Amino acid sequence: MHDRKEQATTAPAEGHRPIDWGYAYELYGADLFAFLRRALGDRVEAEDLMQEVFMRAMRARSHPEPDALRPWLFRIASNLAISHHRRRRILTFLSLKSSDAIEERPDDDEGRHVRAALRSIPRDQAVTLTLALHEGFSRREIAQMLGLSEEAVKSRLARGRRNFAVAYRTLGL
Amino acid sequence: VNYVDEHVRTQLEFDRDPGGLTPHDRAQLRRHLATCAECRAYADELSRNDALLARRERSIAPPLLRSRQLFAPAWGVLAALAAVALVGVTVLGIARENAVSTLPLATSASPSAVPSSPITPPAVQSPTLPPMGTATEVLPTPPPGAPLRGNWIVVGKLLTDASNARSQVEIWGVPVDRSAPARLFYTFAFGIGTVPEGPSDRTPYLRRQFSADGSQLVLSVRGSLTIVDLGTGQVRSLGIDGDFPSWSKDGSLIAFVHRLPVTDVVPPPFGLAVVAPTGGAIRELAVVTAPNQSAEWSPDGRALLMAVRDGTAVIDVASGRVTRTLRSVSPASPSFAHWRLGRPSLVIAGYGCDRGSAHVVTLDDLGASERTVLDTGDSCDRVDLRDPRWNPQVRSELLYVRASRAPGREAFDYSLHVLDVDTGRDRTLPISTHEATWTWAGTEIAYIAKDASRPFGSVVLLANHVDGSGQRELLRAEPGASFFSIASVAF
Repeated sequence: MHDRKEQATTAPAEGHRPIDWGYAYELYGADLFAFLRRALGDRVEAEDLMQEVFMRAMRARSHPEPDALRPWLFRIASNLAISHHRRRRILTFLSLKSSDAIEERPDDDEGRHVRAALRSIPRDQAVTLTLALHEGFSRREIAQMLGLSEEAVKSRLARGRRNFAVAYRTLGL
Repeated sequence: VNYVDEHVRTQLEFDRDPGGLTPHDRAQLRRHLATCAECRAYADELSRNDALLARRERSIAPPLLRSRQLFAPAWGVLAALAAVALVGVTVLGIARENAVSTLPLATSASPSAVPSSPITPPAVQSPTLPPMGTATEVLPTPPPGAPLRGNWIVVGKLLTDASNARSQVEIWGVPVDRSAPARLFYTFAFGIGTVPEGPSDRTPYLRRQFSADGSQLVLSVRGSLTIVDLGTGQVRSLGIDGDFPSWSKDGSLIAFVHRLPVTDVVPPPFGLAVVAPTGGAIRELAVVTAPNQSAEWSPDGRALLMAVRDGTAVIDVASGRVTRTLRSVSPASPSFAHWRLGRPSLVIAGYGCDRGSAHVVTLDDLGASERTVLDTGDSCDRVDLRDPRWNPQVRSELLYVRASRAPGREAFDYSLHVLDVDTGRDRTLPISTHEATWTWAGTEIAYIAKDASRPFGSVVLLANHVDGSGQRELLRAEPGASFFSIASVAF
């Protein structure tokens, strides 16, 4: 297991082993999907972007240093989530059957309401809030991912908290 | 909470993060909280919200489609299959080809009149399509000298290999004339750029990409602006990196989105720029926040409409200044607007999540106020309005696509509507599509039939614009391919 993990997170320098993307997906797929689903507030959209994230990662000319694959994948996911447009759904999961779909737990109203509130605030704020609170990234890490200063991340988190509070309240929760 | 002082509110929000406040500010905030019940309530609310946002839900990554192939593709087999499929497509396309006439082209991509020239038999040499997955990416057809006549519907076709790692785009022209077959204009393989989260112009929005006279098409081929002469088959690269091109309706400029030359910034900033169709120096107009869409030109070529996060910006091309921001509707789709000569001049479809429901607005001219001509009453998570297109012959009529989903459902249903902006009458045609266009006579609608089993659609059909009757198939995609965009051109 350790060897595969090491392989999955090893930069493919010239002549080195390539990244094991299958295992990288096993390692980080669930976290990335949870992040995207939460930040986007939409499971289908999150599924679309999951594949897009991995496709773009796989096609990138260079990959990160060992052990930096996770934040790198989150960086791609975050920036895609912020700029994503619905029409560009050419990489949908074509044959995802209903039995494959993740069913909403009937009693999971709270999660649904949180996603609804996140969906109604600016996308960049929803992504930043989710990176910080759901994924536990520090302000510095988020700043590196999103190409912002730490101060800008701090401001975005504050604005996001305020808008989320208003949205959650407005939803009557 | 409403009575909490703005400064205190901000301090409380900053205080949620470690190091968000200096020790001095933090101590001062604590002292204030002791005397302010509303402030304590807001602090409690923020704390509760943070806990909600941190709570992890049950989460299972969706099974990636064909994950084995995705991660361990059998390239040799795929290339062979793709080559066989593409040769089949070529043979089919050429066998059905019989249209040749003479240039110059008579009309423009912005419908105004219906030409009626006959279509004559072809003298077309067989093109050789590149097998998917090779570096070959340019295949102009028809060959030099082959001209075009008549009413055409142009559609884009996307073929994606089984690994989803590489795509091929083909641009097809279909004469509306029943006797005329389909014709392949142009095809190219598509690679993904080196910036993972950069723009991805794999499914161009064709309506904006024709020259003013309809004789040429601008495409982004692997991120490089490329002009295809539809009559001669000549392909010309402008040598300029750009995506989502949009040709001005006066023919003088091409607007496009490109990555700005700033290093070490993530995400990379994107700019809206213009260049002459002959190439040369580009002129920067604006930094854009939503790079995955093309801009809509004004009929006189002096202004551009670009979707921004909280509305739609009107950009003066000469100065690059944003002269107006239309905030009543936030576009969700790159096909958000259609701008024409006449009154009303401009239609925009979309939604404003924070401003009520999904709706359609028109403007008589750029100085006029926004007029809501259709309000769905549904919020943005239920309805998305897309791709409004004016009828070329009926001033008050337009078509649009409504994507909607019922409560509790995640998938969208697509329906085609025809709206009279004078009377407000909104007809729902019995047609499921994500994109449609008028014929030049304005009496029929050509559309890509939505296919639940693949992205976009697999059949191009023609139907009466009144009730969707008289449907006639124009073009069908082979398994694994889909049509993604549709536009009308007359030659």
